[in-house]
Amino acid sequence: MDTVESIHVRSYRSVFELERRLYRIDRLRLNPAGVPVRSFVYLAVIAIALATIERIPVLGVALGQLPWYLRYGGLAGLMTALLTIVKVDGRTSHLAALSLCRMLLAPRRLWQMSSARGYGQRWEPPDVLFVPDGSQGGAARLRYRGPGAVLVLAPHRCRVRPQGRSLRLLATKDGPDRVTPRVLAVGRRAIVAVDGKAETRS
Amino acid sequence: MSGEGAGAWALFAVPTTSYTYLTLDRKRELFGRLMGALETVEADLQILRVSTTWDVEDYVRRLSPTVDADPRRVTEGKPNADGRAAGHSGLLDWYLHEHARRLASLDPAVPSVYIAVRLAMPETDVASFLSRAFEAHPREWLRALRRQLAWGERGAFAASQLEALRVAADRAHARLADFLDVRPASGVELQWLVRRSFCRGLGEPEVDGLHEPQALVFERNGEAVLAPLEADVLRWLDSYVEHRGRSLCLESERGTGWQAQLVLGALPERADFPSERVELMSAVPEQLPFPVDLVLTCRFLPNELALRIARRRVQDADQILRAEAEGDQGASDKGYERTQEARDLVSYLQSSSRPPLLKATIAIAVSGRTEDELQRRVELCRRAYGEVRLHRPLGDQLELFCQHLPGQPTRVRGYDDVLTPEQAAALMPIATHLAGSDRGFYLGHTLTGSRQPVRFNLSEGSDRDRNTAILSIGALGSGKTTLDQKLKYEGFLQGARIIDCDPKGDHRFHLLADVAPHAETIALSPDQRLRGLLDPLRVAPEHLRQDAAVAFLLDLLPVRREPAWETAVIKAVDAVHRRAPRPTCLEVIRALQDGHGVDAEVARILAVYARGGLTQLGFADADVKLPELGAKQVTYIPIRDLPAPQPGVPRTEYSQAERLGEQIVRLIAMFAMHLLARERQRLKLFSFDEGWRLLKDPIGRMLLASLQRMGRSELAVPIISTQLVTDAMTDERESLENLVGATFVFGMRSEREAARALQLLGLDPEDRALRARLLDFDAGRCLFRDHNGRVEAIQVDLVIPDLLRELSTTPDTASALAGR
Repeated sequence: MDTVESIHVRSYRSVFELERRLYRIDRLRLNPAGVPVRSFVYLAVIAIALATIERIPVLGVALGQLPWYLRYGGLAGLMTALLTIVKVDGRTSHLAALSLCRMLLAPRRLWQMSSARGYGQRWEPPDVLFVPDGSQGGAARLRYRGPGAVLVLAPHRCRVRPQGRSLRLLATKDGPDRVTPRVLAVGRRAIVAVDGKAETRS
Repeated sequence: MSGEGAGAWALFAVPTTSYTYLTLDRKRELFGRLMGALETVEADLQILRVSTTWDVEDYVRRLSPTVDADPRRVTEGKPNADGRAAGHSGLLDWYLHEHARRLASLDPAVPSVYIAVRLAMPETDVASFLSRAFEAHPREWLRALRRQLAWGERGAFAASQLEALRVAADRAHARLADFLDVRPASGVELQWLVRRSFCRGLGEPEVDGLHEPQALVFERNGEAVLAPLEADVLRWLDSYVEHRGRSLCLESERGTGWQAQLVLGALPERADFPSERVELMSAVPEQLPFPVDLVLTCRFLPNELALRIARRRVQDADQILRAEAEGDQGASDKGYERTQEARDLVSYLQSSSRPPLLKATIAIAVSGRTEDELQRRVELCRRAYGEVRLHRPLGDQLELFCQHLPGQPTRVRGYDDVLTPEQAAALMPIATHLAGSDRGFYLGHTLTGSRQPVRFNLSEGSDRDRNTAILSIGALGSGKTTLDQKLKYEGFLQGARIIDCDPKGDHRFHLLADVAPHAETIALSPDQRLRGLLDPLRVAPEHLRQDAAVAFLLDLLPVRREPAWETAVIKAVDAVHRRAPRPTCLEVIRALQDGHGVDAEVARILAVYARGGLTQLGFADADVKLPELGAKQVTYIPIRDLPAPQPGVPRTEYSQAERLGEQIVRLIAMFAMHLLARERQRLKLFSFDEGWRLLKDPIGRMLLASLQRMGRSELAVPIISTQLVTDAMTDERESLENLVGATFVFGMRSEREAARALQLLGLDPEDRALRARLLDFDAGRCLFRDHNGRVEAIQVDLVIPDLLRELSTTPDTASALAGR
């Protein structure tokens, strides 16, 4: 019934999966199967890391117990061989290590795919500050402690407390609708109180 | 879509296709189309294959106007007689409730496929980049530079930019549409794709389609600029994700779930298509008993670039070979092969089609409700993929999770593989096990690990203007009669008029407690009270009436009759048909009796048949009134011990009794049609067991064709069951295809029968695996070809064990029921 043959599908993976190896350095023959180039990079990184660790107080003392040829020859060589051989999750060691580092450095808990540092904590809104702009029927009651300034736009009567550190402004219905705007400078710790209740002049 | 870093992408929805039972030609054609799409799109792309949870609530809601959307609120238990009295709605609710329970236990999911195409030019190497830069106008350089420097305005699009993106999206659409039946995905689908990623394995997000992300529109330098509001899109990601090294714990809108992201390792080096070894994006996921999502992300390497890379690889391979040769152990086999393969790759890329390469990664998202379940599923997944290793990278779970979101490039390093378009197409992401109707009752599930539900709509033929007849074939005890009775039961629940012809007398449908009050039995026997019930001049369709009467009467005459006898019969039938006010076959005998010589002789012979035996059913007396029949919803017509010829015996060698049996079968079919024709707007089912008797007979096929025509316009659905696939059926497959809408092929008992059945389905009869499969099928398992010609192996599921027991035709169960 069918007139066609099946199709042969092949992969060229091996062409792209090249690993450069060194078989000799000048006249020095290396491992018969060659040494991957990345091993030399690993060796260099490990050597730098060991040199850095040597200078860390506690670790450095422990590492310092080993003779230099064991530290930079044996230990570094062993670790290099291990990193070269081992494949973590099907990847080379350095790629796996990079992923691990990225995970450790990145936030582990995300909300909306961004860091969720505050997720789950209770958020309390700050005290709400109402600033009357004068549009309402009467002046709101308030008490203000200096330093600062008070802009007075509405008709009022002033009462100064005997100590001289407290000024009381009483809203009044009598008098003109608008008054000349006046700025009262309020000194440190001085108090300006506004009584919202309208008062009729007797 | 536009994402930071990845640029803008266009998302397209691709319909899935039933694949396993396609012929090799069709599979190859599909492969070619996929390959063509991958090659011509000339852009980085992403193929998403995601599992959609089968909506059980919607199933119940659509089938029952009385049922609340929540199946749990349907009446528990079977309704009593009072509940049934007012029609079958109570029974239907109960039946649907049982279905919903069954479907919920299956936890079914169906795959959907989307292709995201990156609208920017594919990334190239330095040489290509510089070549392109020199070709561009300096104004373009400035524009590109300005874009790169405008860090704060990354999310804003000028109207001209949007237009350019639209043009690019249209171009990608046109390129894909040349090969695949794609359509641009809607915003709702995009929202669904994003939101469902967070609740994989827990259910579907509630996407009502009302939320549309907004954008600010403002003017800058005389040009309209659109700045999409990121917060609107961030609402889709409103879930809490915890990265746990090798898994993710997600608190989503559907609860807390666990996900593990896996990556496919090396694909098979060499394999043949079609085979499950290469169809890794369809064959394996379909085997799994739980849904998984797959994504293939490809970086497009144009032929020019691919060729340059391949040439470098040739040099590299040669260099490595030389280095190996200089070593102590000499050149390795692998090193030598690599040089050959690199050269093969260059030849491949230099072929006339100039194919590109695709740097691709395949990732799989597995989900579970608990960590243990996730672990089990990951293991099952690994086992299913067999030779292809699945890696679960430590630390990259979140990156891989993001890779499954639409419009994302490869985000992890170390797993990409350079694929040829052939390799990518052979993954066959759009293949699935799709069969049956979009609506209708749950019929059963596919014989795959995923057990996808298959629905069947009895009136699909009428609705879609296709053949309405349903043919079911199978050996004794294979399940065809059970299927037939299931379909009738569902038709009964929908209020269909049902005629059940049962030559074997083993049907139990009419005996069901729910059906019995609505059923009448017409036992065709040599009973004088039924004389004339099947008179062809009364029951045959108008246009066939005369031919049917002549055929009936001639078959009663001896085989070695004189030609003059035939002339006499034809003449008498014609005279009666034209002149008599109420023509009957008895009137034909009377007309012949009025004649002389040959006419009288013929009348004398026919009169014998008109007086006794089953044949008297074909001679109606115009003056005798028959009992009122066909008033009930179900009419059961048992016809046991009707003589039948052996299959394969030529018609000329039939005995007189066999010819009479054949005639009675025809008359019964006509009678059924006569009953069905009374109600035009009502769904009508005509069930005929031992259907080969009708299908092998030219007049039987003519009757079926007539029923077919009636079916399309008057909602009549013939259900033909047979255990034999005769040569006549396969020889005249084309004419049969014009008659049959849906076909069920159950288990067979011989290779020959299996081959014939496969031929009938349009499959390869020489395919040994398919033949063996048919021979292995046991009760209820069958190959199903739906009204659209899609073939799938399914398990017919009766759902309710009591119903299965009551409808069973196997002797043990039947006798137990009789004795009860």
